[in-house]
Amino acid sequence: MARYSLADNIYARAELDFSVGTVNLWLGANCMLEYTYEEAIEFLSKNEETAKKEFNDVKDDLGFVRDQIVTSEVNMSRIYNWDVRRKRANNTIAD
Amino acid sequence: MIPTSYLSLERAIEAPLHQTSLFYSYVRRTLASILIAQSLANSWNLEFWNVIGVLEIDKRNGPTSRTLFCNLVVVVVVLLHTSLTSRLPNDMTAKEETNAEEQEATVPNMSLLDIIEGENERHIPIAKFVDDLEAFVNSFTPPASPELLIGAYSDLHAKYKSYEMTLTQKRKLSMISRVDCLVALLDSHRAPDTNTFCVFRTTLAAKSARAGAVTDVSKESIEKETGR
Repeated sequence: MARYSLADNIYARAELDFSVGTVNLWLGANCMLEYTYEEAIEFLSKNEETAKKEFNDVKDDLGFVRDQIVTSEVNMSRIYNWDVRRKRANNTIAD
Repeated sequence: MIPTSYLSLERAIEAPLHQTSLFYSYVRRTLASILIAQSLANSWNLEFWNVIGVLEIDKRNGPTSRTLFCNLVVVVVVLLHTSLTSRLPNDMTAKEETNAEEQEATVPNMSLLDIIEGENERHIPIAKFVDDLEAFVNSFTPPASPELLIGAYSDLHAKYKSYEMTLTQKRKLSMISRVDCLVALLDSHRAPDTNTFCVFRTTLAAKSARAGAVTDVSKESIEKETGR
């Protein structure tokens, strides 16, 4: 018995027949292929490896981009404050 | 040098005209007419009316050849003067504008390349941290205005934010966990004696085995069995 997602927020129980020795994998783009367990494991393991690598890359990139965002914000603040100080100093000299 | 009173000038040119030589009278009349024209132009701020004013003055002495010649000279002089005076303010304005531009001159546009320093190994631009702002502003020719710099950094910030959103969407955690689960499920089928706990979705979990026993899918149970 297994529970599977019938639709969004709807789950159902299903009795699986494992004696067939195959599994159908939904590949996307209206394609579904039948694999043996070994082939399916290999295929899914490969997908998992790729996804994990991509996930790590994306996580690193996200961290890096967030650092750059902070740098940009700090720069903007510093430029603004510097400009205010400069204008104030000019006004003091003019007075 | 230029008399300001119209009447005093008129009186000044009338007396010597009958007593001097022809050449001298020509010169005096022409100069006087120019002075009158200039005076009128200055006092009334007019251009061609000063010529008409001079012609009317000379009509009082009769339309002689001397008067006509002098008037002709005055017309030419006044026209030249008018063209010069009309050109001068423009030149002055242009010069003043140039000076103002030089004083207020700033870099009209700034490339994002000016505020980044290279890129990382994944080709993401690295934002330049400006330590010495005075030196950085003056490194541009002419110096960059703070508004322009803030605008440039703002653009860069917007691009980073956009990229951050793209990366966030790419982070497909659910897909990874689902694939992980499927692999575990299939593994369990290959070895029928073991029960494998699967997390299909964040809110759905199931125990999968050949015996088909579906167990508790509460959150506590999931956390306990998966150790997550």
